[in-house]
Amino acid sequence: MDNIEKMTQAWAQQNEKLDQSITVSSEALKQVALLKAEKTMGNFLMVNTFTVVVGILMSSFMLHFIVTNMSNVNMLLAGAAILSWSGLITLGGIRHLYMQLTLDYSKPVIEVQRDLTKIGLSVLYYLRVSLMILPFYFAYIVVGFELFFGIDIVQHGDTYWLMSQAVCSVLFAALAIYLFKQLSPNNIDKPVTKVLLRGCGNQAWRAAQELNELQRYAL
Amino acid sequence: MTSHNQSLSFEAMIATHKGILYKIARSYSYCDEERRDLIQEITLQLWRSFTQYDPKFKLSTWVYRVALNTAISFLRRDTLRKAHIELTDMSLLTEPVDSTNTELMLEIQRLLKLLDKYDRALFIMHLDGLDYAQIADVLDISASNVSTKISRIKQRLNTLFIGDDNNG
Repeated sequence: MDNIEKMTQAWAQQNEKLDQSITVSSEALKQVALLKAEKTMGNFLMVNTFTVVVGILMSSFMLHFIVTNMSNVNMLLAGAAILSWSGLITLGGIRHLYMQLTLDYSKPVIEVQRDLTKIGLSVLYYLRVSLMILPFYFAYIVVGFELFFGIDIVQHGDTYWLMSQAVCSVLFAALAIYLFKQLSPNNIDKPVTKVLLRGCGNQAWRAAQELNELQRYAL
Repeated sequence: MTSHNQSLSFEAMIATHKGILYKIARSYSYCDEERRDLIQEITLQLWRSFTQYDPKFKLSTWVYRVALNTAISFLRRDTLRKAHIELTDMSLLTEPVDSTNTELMLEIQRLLKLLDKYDRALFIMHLDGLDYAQIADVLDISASNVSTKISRIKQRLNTLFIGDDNNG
């Protein structure tokens, strides 16, 4: 008899024994059944809820800023850049919250584990979206000067200074694109990605590893 | 369905599929306390999902999905975050000591724990007699993929097996 056959037989014998020997405690089962069906996802639920609340507040504020500065193209463009960014963060937060709250453990194993992994990678999503604002950092300066000093910095700024900001924006755009590409779960073996992902915390690092493992497994 | 009837159906379902819960919990835990916690977590997750059970699926397939998803998630958590849920002081499933812990079964458990968590799920279902299509349905991979993986797992386990003929 080969080893696998032996294992299969022993397992089948165990099944018969288990059916007879295991007893279910009705009392303990009633206690479980009395529990409220709370969805507990701990930290991720808090992070995503906080992100959605902050994102909605920021988007609303920027929308208000745009409406009140509709006549000024500089303010309009700066406000639109920040609004698009905060909108992306908010939508991402809503998507992750929805995934968490509708997670169904009776779906196929690979599908549920992939969803859980994506929830675990929400920090990485926020980091990638945050990078997108780098080339538009000047939008914050424009909006900041308008809000705090009531000055349109583009109109009052020196031409050379404005040109240097444009050059910086291009450099930041290149950096943002590079980091955005590096910060992908597919690149976890690259040294730069290792450092960046570990900077997001061990959970993000493990989630990225898990996602790769799942992708390989489902092939 | 009234909540009382729902509780009764749930109890009946647990009684029918207690073996699946127990085997999965034993294969994904490393001590008695963990096993007890995992059985509680699986039971709680089954209870949460019970109202959404779609009768067009076989109940045992549904139980495998929920139980394996809970067990794999349990294994994925690190020790610090592993929630010690105190639902009840009582054990949900009680097994007389050593009723199934033959040397051969201990060896099988040791071998199962050498497999990664997805291969382990796959091989438990294979040992339980599920066909390739059913295993594919629980995991969401193709039946041919299941067949390939089972062959590989068997090859690997065959080389790792250290049981002798006296164990059977």
